[in-house]
Amino acid sequence: MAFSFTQSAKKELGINKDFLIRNLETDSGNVSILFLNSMTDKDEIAKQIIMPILSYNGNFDFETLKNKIILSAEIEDANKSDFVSKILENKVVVAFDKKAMAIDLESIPTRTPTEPPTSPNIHGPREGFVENIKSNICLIRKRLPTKNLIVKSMTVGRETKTKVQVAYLQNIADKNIVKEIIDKITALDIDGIVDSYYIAECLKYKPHSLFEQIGFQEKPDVVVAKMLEGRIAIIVDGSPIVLTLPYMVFEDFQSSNDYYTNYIYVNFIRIIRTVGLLIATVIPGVYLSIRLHSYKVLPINYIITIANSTKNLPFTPLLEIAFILLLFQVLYEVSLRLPQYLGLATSIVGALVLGDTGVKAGLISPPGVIIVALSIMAIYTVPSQASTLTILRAVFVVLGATLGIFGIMCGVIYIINYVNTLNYYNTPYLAPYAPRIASDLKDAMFKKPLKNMKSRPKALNPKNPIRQRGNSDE
Amino acid sequence: MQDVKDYIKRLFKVPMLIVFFIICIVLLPSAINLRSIAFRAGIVVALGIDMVQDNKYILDAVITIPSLSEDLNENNKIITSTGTTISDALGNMNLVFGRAIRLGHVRFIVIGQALSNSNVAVAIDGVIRTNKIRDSVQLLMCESSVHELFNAGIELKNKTGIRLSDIVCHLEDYSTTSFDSNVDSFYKGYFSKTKISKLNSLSLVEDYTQGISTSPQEACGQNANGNKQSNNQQTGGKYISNVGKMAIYKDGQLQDILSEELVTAMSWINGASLPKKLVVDFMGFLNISKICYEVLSKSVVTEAFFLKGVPIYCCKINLTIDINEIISENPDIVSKSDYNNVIEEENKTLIGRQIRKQIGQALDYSKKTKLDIMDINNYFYLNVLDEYNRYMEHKSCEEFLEDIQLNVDVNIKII
Amino acid sequence: MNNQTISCHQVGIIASILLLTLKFTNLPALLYNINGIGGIITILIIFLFNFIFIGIIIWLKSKYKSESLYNILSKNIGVFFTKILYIIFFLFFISKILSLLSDSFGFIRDVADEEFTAFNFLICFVPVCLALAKSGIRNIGRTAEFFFPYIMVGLAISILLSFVPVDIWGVGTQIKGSMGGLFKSLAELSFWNGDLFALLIFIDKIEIKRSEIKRIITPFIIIGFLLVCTYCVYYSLYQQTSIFHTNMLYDIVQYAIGTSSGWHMDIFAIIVFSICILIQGGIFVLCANECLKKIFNFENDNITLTAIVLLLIFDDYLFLDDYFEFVTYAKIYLSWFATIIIILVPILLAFISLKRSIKDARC
Repeated sequence: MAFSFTQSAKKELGINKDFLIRNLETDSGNVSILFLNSMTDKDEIAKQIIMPILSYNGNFDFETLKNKIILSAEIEDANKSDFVSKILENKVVVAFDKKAMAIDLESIPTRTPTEPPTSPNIHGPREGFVENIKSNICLIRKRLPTKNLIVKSMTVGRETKTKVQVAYLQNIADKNIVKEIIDKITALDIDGIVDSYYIAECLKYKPHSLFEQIGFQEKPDVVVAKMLEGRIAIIVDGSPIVLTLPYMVFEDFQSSNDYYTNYIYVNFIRIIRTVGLLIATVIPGVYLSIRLHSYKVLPINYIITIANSTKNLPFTPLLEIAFILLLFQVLYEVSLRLPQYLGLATSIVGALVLGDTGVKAGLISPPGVIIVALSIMAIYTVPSQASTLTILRAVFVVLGATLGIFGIMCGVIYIINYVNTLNYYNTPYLAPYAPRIASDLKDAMFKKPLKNMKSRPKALNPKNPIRQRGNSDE
Repeated sequence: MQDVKDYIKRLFKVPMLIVFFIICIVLLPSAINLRSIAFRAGIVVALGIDMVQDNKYILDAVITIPSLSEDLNENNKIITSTGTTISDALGNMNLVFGRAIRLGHVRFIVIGQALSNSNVAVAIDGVIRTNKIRDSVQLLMCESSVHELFNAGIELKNKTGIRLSDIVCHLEDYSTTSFDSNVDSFYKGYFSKTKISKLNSLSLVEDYTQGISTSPQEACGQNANGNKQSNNQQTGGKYISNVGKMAIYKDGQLQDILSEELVTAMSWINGASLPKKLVVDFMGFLNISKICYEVLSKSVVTEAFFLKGVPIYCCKINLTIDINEIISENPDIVSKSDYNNVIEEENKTLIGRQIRKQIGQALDYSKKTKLDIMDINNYFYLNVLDEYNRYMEHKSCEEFLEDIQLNVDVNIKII
Repeated sequence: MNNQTISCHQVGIIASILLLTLKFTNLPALLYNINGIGGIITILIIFLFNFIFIGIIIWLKSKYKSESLYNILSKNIGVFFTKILYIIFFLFFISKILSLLSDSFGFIRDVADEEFTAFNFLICFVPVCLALAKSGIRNIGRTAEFFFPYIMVGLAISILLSFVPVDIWGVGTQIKGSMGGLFKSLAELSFWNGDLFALLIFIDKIEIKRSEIKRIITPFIIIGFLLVCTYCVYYSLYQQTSIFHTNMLYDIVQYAIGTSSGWHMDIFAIIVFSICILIQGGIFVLCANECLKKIFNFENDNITLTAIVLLLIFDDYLFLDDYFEFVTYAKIYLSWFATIIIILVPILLAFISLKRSIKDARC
């Protein structure tokens, strides 16, 4: 029996209510239009396919239909093995004369690029990535209208058939890293990809590691800046987060605002972020170690003040800090998931419970609340590291309570040594501080003015290290 | 079972996790039950060491105890214990107080009169041999019982908020003497050539004019009505007296307590100290009986050498001073410029003479008591070692003092 | 750069930390006891010896390129004698680790926490040193490079804080040293020397470029200068009582801020010292591990590291009396050894290199 696109499609997709077949009877024969009405633009189908066919005078064959009659810009061939998947990829399949073609007339709900909530800008662009991969590529391409921008496309996921695109500047990025990334993505055999984090998991060298190994960006200006330094961007359909590789930890101390503001102020703010990181991670552990072991470090007046405010507590210091940390974490989780109209009520309850009632009831002490609140707030000076820092904070609380200041120092040194062993994609994790790369220090913890940044970061092994020419201060 | 085995295998790939688990299992349970150190240990802020009968040591420790009450009475307590050695006494104090004693925040140590008559260095060795007490902790001598001094100090704090430690530590800053009076300086003197150590001295006195009262009504010995009140019912009539005296120890034993005048004399030739005031007796010259000066700066250039076998100790003192007060029957001398123009040279001569006289008195005292309070022997020993050793082959430090020739030259600038 | 090599800057920093750490503990007091203020000259000479040793390392590297010490020795004096030498090296490093452990434990217990037990100390110190050793010399180099600015700043702040009460002219009014005292101190206290021998153990992992030799020397000179300054400040501050103190850096800082203010700045000393002892411990464990691997021809780190852990734990925790004896004997009998091996082994290597050059010239 001869193959019929229509019959075959009815057999595979007929059960779906949104699958439609439009048959056009013409002098040259039946033209079948197969599409999912929930995913395609019906007006455009009528305008670009149905009307031209019906208004064509004379006979036509498949080639004429494809090249002369149908008005769409994006047409590709389809065969009996892949036409169903093309229908499912939101394309309109036109079958005629035992042949078929797929036309891209996709119409799916998509957001307008708006400013991401986690990366607001005072100066600078306010566009952010959206869930549609075409929009995301458009946001990148309009900032890099160069032939050196290469975008390689892959489809991942047996069921979701998610489009994944790898974008890089071929005259800057390291080809070996590009190849490695593409190989890893294409080797991924999974049923579905719903977010870029799935791809990130497959690109990690050590999936069990606590430390971030991949950069996550929401803003196209940031991604473009990173690509200009030699990084590779991975865009995943359905996710507003774009991945950047290779990753170094000091990227998280930089925000897009830093590049649109006076550099002196930026240096000050980066110091604040570093101090915030220390406060977030280490301060609760240090507080416990001082209260339990190393009392000599603080002056006697402070010890007496703290002791006076904690005299009648039922909890020991470690239990008190653990209790307050738990309360704050619960409050944080609740505030993430609560509807906005309930948010105000919850924050009042949380503040009252923790800040006032708990202290008055004698369950927790004011110094404990201050320390933990400071730590929780300070984590968001470096928000991308929040998950890592939360776990590390718990580790340091245990070390401070059991082993004191020396235990905390041992923990710090171990962690720094551990992250030094992380050499993902041939890039040291703590570059440019370990190993020390003098030329990259221009934009690490401290930033120099733009005119001093004449070379790309050497840690990323860029092919073309010079980015700015002219009178050199170096 | 297979899952557990896989889990354990994965765990062994990260050995630090195992270490962390060991810490959690072994140390965390005890840490969960551990109270704050302020509640399970006694933090000592001041320590007193004295001696009782049978050569037993008595330790008085002022311990800070946290309290929620506004009443400051609760915050400091004196705990007393005795023992045949200091370590023994400290151990007994743990028992008496019921908590471990922690000495990390001791701000000063007071030696009682009774202990000063035996070897102090042997006594305090028990508290400073480890790093539990810092070497920069103030070390003082008390001319009465340490226990009474601490009681007076606590009462002073409870009623007025003035701490005894503030008074004591201020001695370090206020430069009447500016000699170090801490544990390290004591041992520096103990191990020096002359074995002389110097400590600041406090006492409890009956005389209201000499000290600070522990009563809130009396600031300086007078009650609110302005009448003298020498009997203070609350404190038993004791006033904490701190007038810049200095106790001299030789080989760890108390020899004498120097008056303020002698201490001032010593401080003239000590390069590090700066006597704050200088009172010069004009003996009625131009109807001026006394002029008080404030010393703004002082520098001392010292030279020690032997000339024809005689040890010569030369001091050149450069002073910059300013007039604070003129005590005169003549009310016409009010203008400073009048004064400067007329009697500056005479003034300088008198000041120089007075300073030389004071230093001479200190040297005479040294010769009489055989206590080298001005560290002349040490200076020669450290600066002209070979000649000094030759000179001292058949002589003692005291005999060296007899032979010493002291030359003091004073240059004064009055601004 | 290869996967496991260290750069010139990292070599300079590792050498600085090796120079610095053990000089902060008992050594100042012992030097003053023997030679008075001449202890400063002794430490200067120790610094110069180590500086010359670095020069020797650079010269040896130019001759032997990427050959390891074991290969060079075994080719020239035979495998058996090389293994004997490596046993001696292993004992040397173990004694150094134990000495470091005893000094560090005493310091932490006196300074940070009076209730710190041996178990608490070992459970945090030994695993961190093992983790550092297992991660390899490249990662130790990076860790040292990361912490080096903090060590320098902490050291400088500690010295500056102590400067206020120091009578700077007091440097002259001290117990004077003598030439005899100088030689005696160098001889009796040479156990505290010889730490830089660790660089020779992993000489094959050092990458030295002629243009970057300055990057080795600069941090070493800065730290050497700060070390000598610390000694000067210490002796000026304590003078005759210098012999009483067991941790120089802590003692000069805790003296600095008067008791009236109550703030104790010794946290700087605790941080600097903790970083130095942990990195130095990691380097020594790595060297001991290398020696053990070469002696028994093991490839796997796990077995040798486990053996070292057991040795350290048994020595420290279970047989405490013997441990103290071992360290005391090591400080006496291995003291000469420390000086001998850091002179003899480079001479031996130089002789081998000369022999090879002559042989190549003949061919």
